[in-house]
Amino acid sequence: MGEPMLRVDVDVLDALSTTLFDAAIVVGDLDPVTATACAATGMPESAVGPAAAETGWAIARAFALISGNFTTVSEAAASSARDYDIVETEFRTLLAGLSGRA
Amino acid sequence: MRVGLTRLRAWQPASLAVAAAQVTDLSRAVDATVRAASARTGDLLESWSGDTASAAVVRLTTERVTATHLTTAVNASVDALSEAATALGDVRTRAIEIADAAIMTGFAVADDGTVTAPVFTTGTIADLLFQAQLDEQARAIEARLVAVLDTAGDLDESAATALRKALTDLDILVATPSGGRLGGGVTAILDGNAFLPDDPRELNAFWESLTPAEKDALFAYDPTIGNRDGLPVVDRDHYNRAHLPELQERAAAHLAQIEFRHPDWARGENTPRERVALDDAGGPGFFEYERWAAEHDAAKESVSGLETIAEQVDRDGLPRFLLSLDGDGRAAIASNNPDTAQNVVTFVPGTGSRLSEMGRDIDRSERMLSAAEDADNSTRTSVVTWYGYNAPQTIVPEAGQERFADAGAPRLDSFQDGLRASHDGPPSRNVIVAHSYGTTVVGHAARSGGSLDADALVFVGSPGVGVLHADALALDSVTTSDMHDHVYATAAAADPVPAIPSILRPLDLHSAAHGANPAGEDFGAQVFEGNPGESVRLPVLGHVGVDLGSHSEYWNDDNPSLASMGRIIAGLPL
Repeated sequence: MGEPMLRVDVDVLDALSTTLFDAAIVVGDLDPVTATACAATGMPESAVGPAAAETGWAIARAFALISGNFTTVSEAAASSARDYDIVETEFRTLLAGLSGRA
Repeated sequence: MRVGLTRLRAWQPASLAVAAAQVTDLSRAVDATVRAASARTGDLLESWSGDTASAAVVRLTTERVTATHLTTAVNASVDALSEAATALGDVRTRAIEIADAAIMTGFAVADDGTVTAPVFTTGTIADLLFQAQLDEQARAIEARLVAVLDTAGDLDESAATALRKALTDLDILVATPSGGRLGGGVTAILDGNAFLPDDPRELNAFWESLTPAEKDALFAYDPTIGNRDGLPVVDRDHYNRAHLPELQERAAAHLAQIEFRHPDWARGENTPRERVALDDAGGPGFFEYERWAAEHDAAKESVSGLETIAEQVDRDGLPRFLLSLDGDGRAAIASNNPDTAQNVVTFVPGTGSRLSEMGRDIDRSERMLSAAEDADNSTRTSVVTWYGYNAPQTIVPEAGQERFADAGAPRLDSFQDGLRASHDGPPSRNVIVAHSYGTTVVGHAARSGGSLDADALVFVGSPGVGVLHADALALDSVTTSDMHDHVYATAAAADPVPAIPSILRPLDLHSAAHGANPAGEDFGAQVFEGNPGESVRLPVLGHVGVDLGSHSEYWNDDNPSLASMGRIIAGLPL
């Protein structure tokens, strides 16, 4: 009776993990430092040029936080899915054992 | 601190605009990724219940909100970069123009802005007099140049300060992703004890004082907040893009609901074709079908219109900004950022305009943008394709009615005020170009006590603008006696639409005529020519415009009217 319930949870968790992992990769690959570097080189000996470059680094930290958060939740989902899988396998083995004894 | 000329010449403020555009693309990519992941995880979690699932929902919602706060904060950096590009670009151009003009006429210009007159020696007594005049000119040029170089230094510092504030806000948010406590002004709005300012300038000032988390809180409270005139363009675009999927889902659900009522009719089966009652057979009557079909068509148009918006804002090419959209067939899309452009055009289309066909008018907008930049490539132009009113959908009777113009006029007025309020740097040249019934909307907004915040009006193929003379229209910063210099019109000889007023007036159908043809001799506009189109010569009536196609050809590449519009937009003489 419990088997289908466990299987659904594992599938959902796996899909969740993959979705979030993919999103984390996309966000993590974005490069705001290069995007703002042209402002720093295009405005030599100015106050705004270095500020623009610093902005690129600040945006990179923000993107890293988003990517990191998604990765954390993705890993948690993957880990839980493995746990469910183990529980399901153990449960199935247990059931098989009980059935053999009967 | 004064900036030296050599340093100023080396600056490329456009690089700040490039950085802003690239960061905008990245921010949009994050938004799109987070939205797609949220939608996918939302679907997954629907099939999962229990405490663990609830915890997952809470956690994912938290991550989505954090990501939204962060991209909102990133947009503040974009705004600061864009503003710096505009302000520094303008001051650099002015300084170099002054210095180069002086050098061309023989003056020596030092790096710090000091100007020295050429030595005038002919060996006569007049030398002293001429030399004194030249020295006086040098002092006058120097005063202007030094002031601009000082301004450049101040703007550089203030731009750096604005950027550092934006990045500090971003770093604070990274450290405290929840965004901290909301301010009293925002809390009062969320609690229903206060409202956002209606006036675009007041709203802009209020908005600029908010933290990213406060802006997001107001968006969560009112998902249509991106439509508010006065918000910075980058934020309007950010929130309207975020709202678009919800509107699409709602429109799709509404269509599905209508089709569910009559699945066979939705498939085109069993539709009553005659105006006879089918109730005898226990089925629905023809009139019920007509009502259902009208509702169905409107719902399909809504779905299709929003799909078009989604597709258009992500098109390759010029950067596009979604300035407004709602579920009632209205939207506005800018090509290039109006907040940072020197020339800002609002293009108001006419009869038959509908969101699902907005691409045609965006193409016209971008043709005008190119024509303006061809006319003067030293200035940046942005054109907004403004579908901010519900246009008449039929020539007869709707295009003869004033109600569409009356409903659109206050919306256009507010939109223009918003463009002015959110613009960065020196005021832009704002021009409204209107086509067909769109000209009537503009006229209704600028007459009878109304006034538009624009520097020029351009009426193209107009059926009348609600007045008989240009000086009956009003622009905020133009006196009545000068209106002639600020109103332009064109009408192809074969375009039948501008002939409508002269046909209907003698027939005493004043209510269906929207005033005089603004391209007519007595109206008092500056008339520019285009291709005449095909016409026929009839007895008594003479040449009669019969080429309906000419009504849609004003933006064709080979039509001189397009180049004229470009010159008007750029502020050049015709």
